[in-house]
Amino acid sequence: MRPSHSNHALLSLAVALLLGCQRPPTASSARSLRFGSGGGFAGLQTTYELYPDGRLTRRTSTPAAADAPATPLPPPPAAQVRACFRQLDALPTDSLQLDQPGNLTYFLDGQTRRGCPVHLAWGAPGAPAPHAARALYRNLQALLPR
Amino acid sequence: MKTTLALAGLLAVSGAFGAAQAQTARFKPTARSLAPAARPRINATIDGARAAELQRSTGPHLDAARLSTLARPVTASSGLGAVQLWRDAASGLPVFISATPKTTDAASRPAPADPAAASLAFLGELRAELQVQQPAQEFRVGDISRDALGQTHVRLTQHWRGLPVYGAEVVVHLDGHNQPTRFSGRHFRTPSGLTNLTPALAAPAAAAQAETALRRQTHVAALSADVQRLLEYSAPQSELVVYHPEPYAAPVLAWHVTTRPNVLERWETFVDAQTGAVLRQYESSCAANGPRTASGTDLNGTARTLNTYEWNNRFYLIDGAQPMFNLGRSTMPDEPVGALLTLDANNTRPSAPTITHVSGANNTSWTNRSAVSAHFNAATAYNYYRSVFNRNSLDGAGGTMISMVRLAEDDGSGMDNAFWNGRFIAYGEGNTGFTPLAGGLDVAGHEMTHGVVEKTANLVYQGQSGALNESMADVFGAMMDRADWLIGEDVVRTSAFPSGALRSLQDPHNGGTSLSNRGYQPRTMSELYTGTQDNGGVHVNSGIPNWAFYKTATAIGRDHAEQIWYRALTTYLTRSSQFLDLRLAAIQAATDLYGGSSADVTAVRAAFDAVGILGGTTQPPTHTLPTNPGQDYILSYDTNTADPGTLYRSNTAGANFLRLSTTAAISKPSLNDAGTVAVFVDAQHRLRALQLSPTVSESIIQNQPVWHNVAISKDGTKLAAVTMAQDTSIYVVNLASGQAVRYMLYNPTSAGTRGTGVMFADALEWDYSGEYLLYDSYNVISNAQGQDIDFWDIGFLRAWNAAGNTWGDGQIQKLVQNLPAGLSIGNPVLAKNSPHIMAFDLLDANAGTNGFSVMGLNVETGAAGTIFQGLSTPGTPSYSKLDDKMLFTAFNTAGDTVVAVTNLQADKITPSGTATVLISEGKWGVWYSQGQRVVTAAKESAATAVPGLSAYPNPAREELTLQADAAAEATLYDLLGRPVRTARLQPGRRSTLELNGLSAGTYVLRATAGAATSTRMIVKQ
Repeated sequence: MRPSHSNHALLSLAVALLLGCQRPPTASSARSLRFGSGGGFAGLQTTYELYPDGRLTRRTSTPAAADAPATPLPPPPAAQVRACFRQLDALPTDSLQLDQPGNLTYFLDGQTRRGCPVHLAWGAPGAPAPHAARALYRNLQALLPR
Repeated sequence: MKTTLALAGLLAVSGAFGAAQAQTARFKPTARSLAPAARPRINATIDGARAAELQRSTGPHLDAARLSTLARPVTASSGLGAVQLWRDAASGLPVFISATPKTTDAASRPAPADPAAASLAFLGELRAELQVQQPAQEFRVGDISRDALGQTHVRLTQHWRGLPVYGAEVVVHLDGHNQPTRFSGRHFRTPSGLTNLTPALAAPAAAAQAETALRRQTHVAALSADVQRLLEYSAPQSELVVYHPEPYAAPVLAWHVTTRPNVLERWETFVDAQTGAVLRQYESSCAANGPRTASGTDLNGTARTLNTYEWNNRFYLIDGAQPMFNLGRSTMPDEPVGALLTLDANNTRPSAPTITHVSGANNTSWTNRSAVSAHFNAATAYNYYRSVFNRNSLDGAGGTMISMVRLAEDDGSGMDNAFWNGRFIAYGEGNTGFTPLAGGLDVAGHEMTHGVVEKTANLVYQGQSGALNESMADVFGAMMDRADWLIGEDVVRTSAFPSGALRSLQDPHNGGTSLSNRGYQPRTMSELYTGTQDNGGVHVNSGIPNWAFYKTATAIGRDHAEQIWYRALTTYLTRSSQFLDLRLAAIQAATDLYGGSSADVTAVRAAFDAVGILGGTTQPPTHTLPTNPGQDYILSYDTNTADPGTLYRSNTAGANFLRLSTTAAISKPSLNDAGTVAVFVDAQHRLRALQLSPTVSESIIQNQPVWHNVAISKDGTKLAAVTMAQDTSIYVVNLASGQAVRYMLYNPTSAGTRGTGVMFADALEWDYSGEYLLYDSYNVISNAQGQDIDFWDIGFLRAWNAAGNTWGDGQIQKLVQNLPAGLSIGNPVLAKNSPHIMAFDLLDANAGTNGFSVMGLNVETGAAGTIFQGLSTPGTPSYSKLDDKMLFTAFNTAGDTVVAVTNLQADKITPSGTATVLISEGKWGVWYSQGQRVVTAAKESAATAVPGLSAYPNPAREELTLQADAAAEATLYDLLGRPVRTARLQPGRRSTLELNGLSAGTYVLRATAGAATSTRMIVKQ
């Protein structure tokens, strides 16, 4: 008898084709967008974390050490925050993953509304991030207090 | 229905097969080029050029002349009447003389004399005023000209005992009767005090002195033959002269050297012929620009001599004094070639930088201390590499080195860092952790060495290779700043780094005890950081090779150690080198330089031993898998269209056929290592699974009609698939978890970037670790002439991270980085028992219709062999159970597709004997065994595994006992991902899964306890 394939795990593959990606839902529904840079001579990393509700924090950490406490920053304008998350959600599927660190590495980490993981790390000479990701990064930088 | 092949039907397989169509691409897309490297933009407002005022003098300064009338009496023999003199105020010597003849009556005038003689006589008359002892001997007649007014002008140069007196030239002007009436010009008193006219320095030595001095001022280059002809110059020209270093000072014997150091310039140098001192040097071509020197105070309060550059009356921190400077190719000041250029980011942020030259209207006021430090340190770094290793700049080719100071953070605050971005070094002004980082020589050395690494080994900035990259930067930074073994000691704030340094080669622990302490690094392999932060700990684990260098250098001296490390870096290391590779490279480098029995080699070995980088530490084990204990068969695809059967199983002699399927397939089946499941793509582009044991059954496992190929991992837990579209991705499914990801393919370049050109993947093969997926892909790239070239090649995709029990990072490595033109490779397959040995198809497009070969390759040794050549179709090879035979597809002389077999030698990559036909009217032979063996040890992360999970016995017959230290849910899945049994586990209590009713075969047990997950492969007997 032919086995039923209604519960086949491979069906997830078909779903993945439709949605572009799939990952298990996280325990918390809150998502955030982490960006920043690190490495260089000192190996320090500065991570900014932006939440949809406008909260923005900064954390500076030494190489491989435990995270330093996050410092709250002045919340950026809500419209700009929403625009950044829309930009995140609109990243093309071929612009979601990149791992080309350089002496100084820039990064974007997050998750689209559909649950697609986003991890971009760039900085290696001659290996720029996709245009859409760089545009998002620039807009995120513009949110930082001056 | 397939029958056993009669012996009479055996045909010797030879190279003379029928013609067949070579593998071609499915279609031809547009090629794309790689992205260019970044360059800093200069947005300064540069002063417009204004006319330069040349104020050069080759002789006494022109001061106000004095007019005086000769008061002495005129002698009767003299032909001169009244004389008026104009004298130089400084020297008192006449610069102009007007004299009238004694009589204006032409009839009574003396007969016209030779102008030359008349001029000398005239000068003789005036010798007292001229203060020249013997004008007739000291002046030589040069050019004589007569103008339209009838006047004659006689030029004379001054000499002293046969030597020209440099800069002394006068003119005697005669009237129409050849009577001297005027004198003009400059000369010197008779240099009677200069008695020694024998030079102690020969002309070539003087020219060398001149060149040495010249190199401090301008770019000296060898002129090409064409330029030499153009300039009529092949070497410095030297002339011995009497020279007055200061106007009317005592004269010296000197060499006057004329040099053309480049196509644009001509320089005059005066070298004391007795002492060799350079008395004066100036450019005599019409230009006001060029290298200069200046002084500036750096961040440490030290006065530094700087090489600056004057361009159109403005001075820049551009060092054009180094031998690599190429003025001819430079566009000054913005694009100097072969210079050390220092720029200022003006405390602006990277997202909106304002980058300017560091420049000024004068060359004496350099107040930007960060720029002074950076500029001076750049020159130090350049000279270090040049003098110690004969390396011409960071790229080894005289490329411009750019330093940028005062770059701020993204939020505008002071940047507590410095970095190299592939194009320039950027320094921050510091914040809480550092003072302005340009103040550290080792900072400059560290960052500049990243440039050297990029152009040599180009170590990937991740994991151990990234740690080596960082270590090399620390090592050579410390070698430039040789006073200690510390990194950053001149720029750290002790409030942030209590030890007083960012890192220490002498003791990487740097006063700390763990990574929680700032500046702490591991110093031995037992302390190796294995996390993912910091790109896998590149700034952390660099402490280990750092300590190895320190130990080496303290044993044999810095000089030898740096030579060994430099040779290791530039000669032996490559992009993916690991710590072990450095050990091997350093030992070999020491052997090359100082001999195999040298103390240097001994010291290097001891150093690496001491830090735990031992021979074989990180080498993948060259192991042989245990032979699959089960019965072996051959799976093949029947090409007889009259036979409804498609997939058949036969014995290894090509007999006793068992029909397994009647489904038309478009891809070669892929089997798990246990030989119990085969997956393939049917003619409708759907994924199918074929259960092979204990009974045969077939099912569609994915019915979207989009697929082109599929492969199952050796342990049966994952599938990889590609679609039939031009899709630069591979889809991977984890059957145990039900998750799927899509990996984007790219072509890794030698520069470490992700290049384009991949069109789509085709053949797939999992390795035995379950982490890497071998694949072939069709590529289209542009060659140097801009033409599209297409080819197939083989890649390794890291699709799984066994240690983390998670998805792989998608990194790709190519089997062959730069295939020769006309060659393609594909259809990779691994040996059954040697994970480091593989076979693949090779197509030589230049070999005509029979251009396919089956190749064998030992990936560890690089040895390769041709197993069979002259095929007109891809062989799609398959190793036998013992790796002593190779199956491959071929055409017989009748043009029918066959499965052929050849014996292999013990190396598994070269043939033994003659190939023969094994299965007629067949293709895609796959040799498999139906038995269990351990091929991969999946490692679970302790942090994510279900604590204390055990499942036994394994293999099991009737029931499986489970136990865990935490409450967990356990589910047993078949290889098609269907749950077949479940159980709840209580901590510390045994539970059982009833296995009766399940088919014998391999299953996947998945247990979850909250966020923790563990999987086990279970065999049901």
